[in-house]
Amino acid sequence: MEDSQYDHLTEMDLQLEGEVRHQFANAAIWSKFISIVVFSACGLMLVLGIMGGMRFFNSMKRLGGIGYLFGNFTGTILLLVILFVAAAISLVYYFLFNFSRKIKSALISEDINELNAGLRSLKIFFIITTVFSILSLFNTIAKLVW
Amino acid sequence: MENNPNSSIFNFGPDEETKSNLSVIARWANINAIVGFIGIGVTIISFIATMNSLGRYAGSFAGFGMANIALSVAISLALNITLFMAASNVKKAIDNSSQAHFEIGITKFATYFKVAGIITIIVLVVLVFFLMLGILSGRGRGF
Repeated sequence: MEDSQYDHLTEMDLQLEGEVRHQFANAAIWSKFISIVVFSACGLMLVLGIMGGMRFFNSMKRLGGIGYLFGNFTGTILLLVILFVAAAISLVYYFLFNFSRKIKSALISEDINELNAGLRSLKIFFIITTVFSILSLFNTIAKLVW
Repeated sequence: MENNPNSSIFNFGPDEETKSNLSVIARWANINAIVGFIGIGVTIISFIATMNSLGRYAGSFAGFGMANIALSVAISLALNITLFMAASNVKKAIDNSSQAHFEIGITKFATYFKVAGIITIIVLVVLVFFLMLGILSGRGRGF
């Protein structure tokens, strides 16, 4: 009797019930919070970057001549770098936000396609963050060695 | 009511695509955690190298730096251990079709995001505190 019960249990595949559903919902809530904070931080970084760039540009303009040209060029480059960094970070965290949105929707509608779309987003998020982590690690090691 | 012979009592169960996605997530999360562990080691070595190069000038900076590094290492270690455990449990769950490992793995993933979220809140509170401090000190100087 016991053996037969065991066999039935082992024949079962993974289930998205009870605790797993609850934890998926938890992960969705916290990942949404993190992504929204990162989006806000990127917006703030952009605003502060534009303000800082304008100040730098104005102070260089006052110097006139070469200062005007230098300020114009450096201000534009600074703005472009900030814009690029903010866009790149936002894009990465968009995948985390998408994971949260799709998982929440999947749990409500019990739609496996939505769940897969959410997991695909989480997969892309982990791939990108891991590649960034590896690059950052190489950069730290390079600084340490040279 | 129409009976569908293909429907099961568990309509909302993972299919092959779900398992494939979870498997890739587990693999990359595992690499991420390992890179994190190496990063912690490199940070410690880098700190020791900096302290050695500063020599006797390190003085009061050493204590502050040590506390800072210890806190960063502890947080990073906790996060990476959670991520590593999540990845290895999800991998075991998919390989052995084990629901127990699946539950632990997803719980660890949720804990990872929860801890990251709480750290985000703490960072936000500290930033707001320093911003207020800056504004107040600016007002005190008559700006």
